[in-house]
Amino acid sequence: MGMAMNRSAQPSVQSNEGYYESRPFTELYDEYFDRVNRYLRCRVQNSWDADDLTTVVFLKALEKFEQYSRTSPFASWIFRIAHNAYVDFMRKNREIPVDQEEFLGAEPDDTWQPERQALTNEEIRLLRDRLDLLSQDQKDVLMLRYFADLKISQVAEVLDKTESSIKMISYRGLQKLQKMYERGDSE
Amino acid sequence: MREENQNPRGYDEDQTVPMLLTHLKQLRRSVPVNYQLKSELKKQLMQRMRELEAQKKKIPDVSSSKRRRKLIQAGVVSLVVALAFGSFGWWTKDAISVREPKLLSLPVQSSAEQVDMDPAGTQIAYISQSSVLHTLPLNSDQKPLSVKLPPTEGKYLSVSWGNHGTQIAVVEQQKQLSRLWIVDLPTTYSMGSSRLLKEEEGVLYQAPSWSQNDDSIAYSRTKNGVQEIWVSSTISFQEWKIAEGSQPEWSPDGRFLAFVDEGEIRIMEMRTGKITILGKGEWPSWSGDARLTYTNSEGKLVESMVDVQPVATSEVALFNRSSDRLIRANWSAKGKQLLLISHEEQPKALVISLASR
Repeated sequence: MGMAMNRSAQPSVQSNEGYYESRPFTELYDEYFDRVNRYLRCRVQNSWDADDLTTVVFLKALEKFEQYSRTSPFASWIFRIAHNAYVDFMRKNREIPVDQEEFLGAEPDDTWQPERQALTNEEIRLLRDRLDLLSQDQKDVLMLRYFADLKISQVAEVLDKTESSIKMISYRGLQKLQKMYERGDSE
Repeated sequence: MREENQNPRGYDEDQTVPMLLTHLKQLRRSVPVNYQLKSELKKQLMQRMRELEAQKKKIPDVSSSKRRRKLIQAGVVSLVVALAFGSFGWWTKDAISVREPKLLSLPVQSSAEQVDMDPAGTQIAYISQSSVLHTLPLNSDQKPLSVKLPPTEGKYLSVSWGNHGTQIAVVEQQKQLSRLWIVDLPTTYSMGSSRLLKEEEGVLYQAPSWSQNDDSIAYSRTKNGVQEIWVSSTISFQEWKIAEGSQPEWSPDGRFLAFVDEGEIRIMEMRTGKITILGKGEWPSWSGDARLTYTNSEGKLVESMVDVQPVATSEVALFNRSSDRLIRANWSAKGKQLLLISHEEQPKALVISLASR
């Protein structure tokens, strides 16, 4: 609870009596679009697909918004939809070979912020190659934790696992990734 | 627990690889966001919200007048029923009576898996011409739907409604290849779609059954003559084997899985893995959290109360039923409606009837 209070993107009310998300859909959209779009752009091979998926996620979220209980974090709810949309997408496209030219950072983008350009597309490509060497669970957890910027409890909700197992998967995934970086492998 | 103990207590992975975490954070920030999409999608969503608002305003008028009419009708009907049958209603309160003896007739070569009733007991779904999924409403509030299944060379064999009534699992068999699909039915707000949940060479999938929250599907998988029950998650890539057998059926509260093995109806308590044998039969179906029915070899419907020890089993009386041999009986979620699938001899056909309590 304490940690949640300190984060910037948090719900309107979080008291001792529990969580309550009072904001309307449009406000939540404004806040969460960037995170969902980034997350999907990290996960999906090309950014057009990622943008299509982002559209699907928010349209679905709007249709189902009445089912959102408001007593649990919107982040967990929207990323559950996003994660499911991603899993569906991967199933449908699992036979399509990866097009390396359409990699995440290969597309020029007006919104690219100049101060971050030092991080090259090559670095992103390398990270994705290394993430591909992790187990599916490790990849899911690390992506949700560090690219969707979710808390452990929220990742646990999205993936329907316990917090302790998420911590363990995250710990092992990071250790493995760290070793890959130290050794410089990506294959 | 054992795995956790291998690590220092109270560890926080954030502290172990600070450089890597900084690197990941920087990479996250460097991923561009499509702000053009953000603004266009917002307009689209606002438009959709207005449409939904407008639809909402229309719906209450229609539904309230319909509801009123229904209430009056129901009141009149119940009064008549109460007067006419009140005197002997006490002994028929749990009786099941066939109210639609011939709801549908399918070719005799059709399988009992090709038809299923939705959990609300308001419509049935069935496959015809091997590749079209039809829904047939049981009341006048709904419209029948025809959904073209993915155009493959296979034959669609099994149908199973999801518990939310919006999705149907279908099994497709194409020579040696078996596929499990999930069909999202079209609604006012969305077009229908199909997605492939699983496919495998050299096996036969059958009898899918959705779990309580629709987050997984149990099905039987036959390979080299061995029948096994597997579960595939509908939200992740996880899948696991549960037991040997076929025709899995989740209890409404998810506590039990009923299935058939060696011609016997068995139930597995999911928490403990304990298996109880109920008797000879096939096609188990739950009419309550602890009430299971199945058809025996004589084509009779048998009910077992599984939460009493020893399990109490009795034959279920079905009023107004023809003499056709009963193959399968499927309950709606609250155990009110019962879909009966029987073999008719003259003319040879698979007859679907509807009964209710």
